[in-house]
Amino acid sequence: MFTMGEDMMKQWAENWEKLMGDHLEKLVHNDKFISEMSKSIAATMTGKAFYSKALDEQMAAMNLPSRTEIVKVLQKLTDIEERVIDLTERFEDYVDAQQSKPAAKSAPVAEKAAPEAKPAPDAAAKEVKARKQKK
Amino acid sequence: MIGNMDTLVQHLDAITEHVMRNTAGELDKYPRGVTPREEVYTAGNVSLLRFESPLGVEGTPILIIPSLINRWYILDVTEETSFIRQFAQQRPTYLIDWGYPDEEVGHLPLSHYYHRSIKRAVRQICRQHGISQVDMLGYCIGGTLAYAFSCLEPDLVDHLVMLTAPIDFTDAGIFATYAEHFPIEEFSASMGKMPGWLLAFSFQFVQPMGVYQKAKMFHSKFESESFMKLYNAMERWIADPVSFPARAYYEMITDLYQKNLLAQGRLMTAEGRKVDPAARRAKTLILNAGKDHIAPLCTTALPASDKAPVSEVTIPSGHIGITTGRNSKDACRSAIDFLMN
Repeated sequence: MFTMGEDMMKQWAENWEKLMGDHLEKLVHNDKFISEMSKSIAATMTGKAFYSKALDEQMAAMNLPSRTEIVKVLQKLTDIEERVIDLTERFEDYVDAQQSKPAAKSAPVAEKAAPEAKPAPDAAAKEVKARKQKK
Repeated sequence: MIGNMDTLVQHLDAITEHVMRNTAGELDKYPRGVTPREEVYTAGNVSLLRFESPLGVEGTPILIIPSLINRWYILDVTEETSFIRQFAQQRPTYLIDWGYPDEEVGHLPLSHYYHRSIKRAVRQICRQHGISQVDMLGYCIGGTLAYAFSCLEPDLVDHLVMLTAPIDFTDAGIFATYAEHFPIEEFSASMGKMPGWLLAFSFQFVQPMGVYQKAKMFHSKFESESFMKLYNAMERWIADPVSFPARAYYEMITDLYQKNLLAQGRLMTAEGRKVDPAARRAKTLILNAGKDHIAPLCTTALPASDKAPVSEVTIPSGHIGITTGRNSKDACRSAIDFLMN
């Protein structure tokens, strides 16, 4: 008797799962449903944009930086960081290229090659010297 | 009376702290990735990880490009299912960790990820090993990024494995329908990022019975130790969502899902360079999943203009199952065999 009840429950659960599964699957794939849901999301996002703008204006009236402005500053910092990374890479590539040049040209003459191996700092020093002279 | 209230609040506080500590303790048992690793390079949010290999392991390094929409350690979730662990046994193995991007990178274009960031990682690896090319594996959207990179820098990629990577979005299934209707302009005007929790919800939404089926599976298998280990590790991964930078998300929806520019060879980087599939030379393996609802089989096909040597292996599993399911070992073996030849 108990087993029969358990089997019935199991059968009922399986039927429920199939019924619900089929129904929900159809719903989330339905073009009209997706379109209406998107409209609702669009309305929420438009509301958020309006609210954020109003908040920004209030902050500006109080002479305080808004979240939007702080994010802009953070994005500028990201841009600067990106630029520094790019320049560092270019500098490393330049140094690598300069270091490999004399080694390939005159490997045995180590004493003479040594000072030439660091042209970048020399060039930088000359530039600084020239700037100082200009001043 | 007030004194009693204070005691009650103190007790509640103590109970909350106890529960939170225990919960945190449980989470600590399931680390983010199981293979030992070190961070060898960082640029902004992005870092390059090198995984520990046995002594004497050498050869062309493998760079893994994970998806931007979730955390990388799905490929290293347990010792038994880890792709990364298997790769690291064979070759020096690196991975780009996209971190947790927030609004400070919301203005960066998609090409920042598929070109600039990957190029920096490849450059670091090449400098480290004194080589000029690497092998690559991209998973999900990471595969799309790796593919775009191999179009832009054909000399830097020798072998490319695309693990369930969508390239042709002509018929991209349920996600294409959602992308078509998604209010992308309103999103762009109001959001600095696509929040991780919303992305995670959208994945649950397209499989409405998923949570129920997961609970049913848990009920039938919870006495198995190996099942519980994988289940908890997966739950740990699911509960670790990542936000998608706003401009990159906008470009992914419009340029890839809506206009299908990558497959048509019309995708351009922010600097105005064309991402041309015809320029690609990397030997390629398309490793796709037969029951994938996120990147259906037809989306993983390469454009006709792509003349690089290509082979294809289809694993009978789903999008996540290919990395952690019972057939994941076959998928991993196929990738290793391809990279070794």
